[in-house]
Amino acid sequence: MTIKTHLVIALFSLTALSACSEGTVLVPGEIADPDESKNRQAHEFNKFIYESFARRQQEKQETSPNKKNISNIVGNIVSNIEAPRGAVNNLLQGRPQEAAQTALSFAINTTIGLGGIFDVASKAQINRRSTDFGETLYVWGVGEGRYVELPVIGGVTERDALGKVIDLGLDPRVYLGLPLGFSIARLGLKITNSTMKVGKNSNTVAAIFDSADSYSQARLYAVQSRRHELGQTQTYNFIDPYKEE
Amino acid sequence: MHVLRRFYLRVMGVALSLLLVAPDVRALDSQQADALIQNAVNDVYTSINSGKSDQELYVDFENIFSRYADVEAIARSALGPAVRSATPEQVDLFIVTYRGYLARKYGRQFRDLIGADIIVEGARERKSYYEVLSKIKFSDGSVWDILWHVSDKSGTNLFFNIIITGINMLSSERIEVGARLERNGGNIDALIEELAKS
Repeated sequence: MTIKTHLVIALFSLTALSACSEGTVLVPGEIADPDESKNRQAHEFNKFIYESFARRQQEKQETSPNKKNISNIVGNIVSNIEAPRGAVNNLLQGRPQEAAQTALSFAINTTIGLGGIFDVASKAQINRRSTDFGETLYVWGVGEGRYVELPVIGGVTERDALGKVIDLGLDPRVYLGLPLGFSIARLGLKITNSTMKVGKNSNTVAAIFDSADSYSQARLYAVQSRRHELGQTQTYNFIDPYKEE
Repeated sequence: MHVLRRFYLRVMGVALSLLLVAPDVRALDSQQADALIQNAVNDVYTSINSGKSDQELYVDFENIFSRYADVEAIARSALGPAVRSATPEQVDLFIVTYRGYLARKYGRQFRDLIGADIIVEGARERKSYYEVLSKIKFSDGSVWDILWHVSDKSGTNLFFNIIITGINMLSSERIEVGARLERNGGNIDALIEELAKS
């Protein structure tokens, strides 16, 4: 797909998104999920992938220090490749300083860090701020939209799904013609795209797939952790167990 | 003059007695909430980094939950409206079984924190409870937030909810217990049996 096609799709979805967000009135903290049955089908597929591939992969990773090193290197490369996306989106969010730092980090790690294998920039206290177009839309005031579980990618809000489409235009992998290879390598580490921390939270992810209703747990996990990332959880995360039912 | 002085003395008397009573009225303050979570976090840290077997870890976590958490309130909240249709015996058995289940589940999950530094940042007063923020710092530089909600409504200072990187334990537990109850056709005894085994 060309960038132009991406933009056309994105603009079209943005219009659709703002149109549907206006109609739904939600209690703060609730998750809009009108496509639940379709989402559950995607979830079954993702669960199949997790059970037949990812769970074992994670367990192996935990026990073998060698695997852990490899996953760190892949993690470094992936975060470096995502730095241009971060730089541009920081700028769009009105964070010029973070944008500059992120761009500088990309320049250093791509050259001195040998294509991002070594995170030299962080060691030199040049800290990138990773972000995406989903956050940019949030900063611009676009509503969360409905919940979508996508095959392989995992659970995201509609706003983030749209953000991902736009972010493809800022992804060097697309221009290098490597989207598929890298996505597969990444899948082994990430399983669901709801978090950057898989590998570190493998037991938490396992708990989600072990639960009685793993679809609902994955949805709660994806949406609440994303809201937390965006810094908007504080206001409604209180549940009072002492009030009478 | 006389009347005024008597009034003044009475006001002073009331103020003095209020001052003496005050510490008892306010059983929980931010320092105590902070200290409770500091102790809980220390116990969690010691336990997960002790190299103990899973079984031993679960025993530790059950003790940690008994000591620092309001398991009864958490259990009742997780069971939801079904509490009303259950007998008192069923509720009691559910609470005890649920504590073990909770210890196994979070004992397993908290192994993700092995090796990380856990720092308690301090407590903040909210409307009807205290919120204590702790940060988990991993060796690769990433940081997780864990929020602990603390209350004295049970008569003791205890935490009643944990929010790990935004994910609310009470929300998650309501979904889980609700789904298990449904799976067992709404039968609370069958639910308890299943929880005891998982």
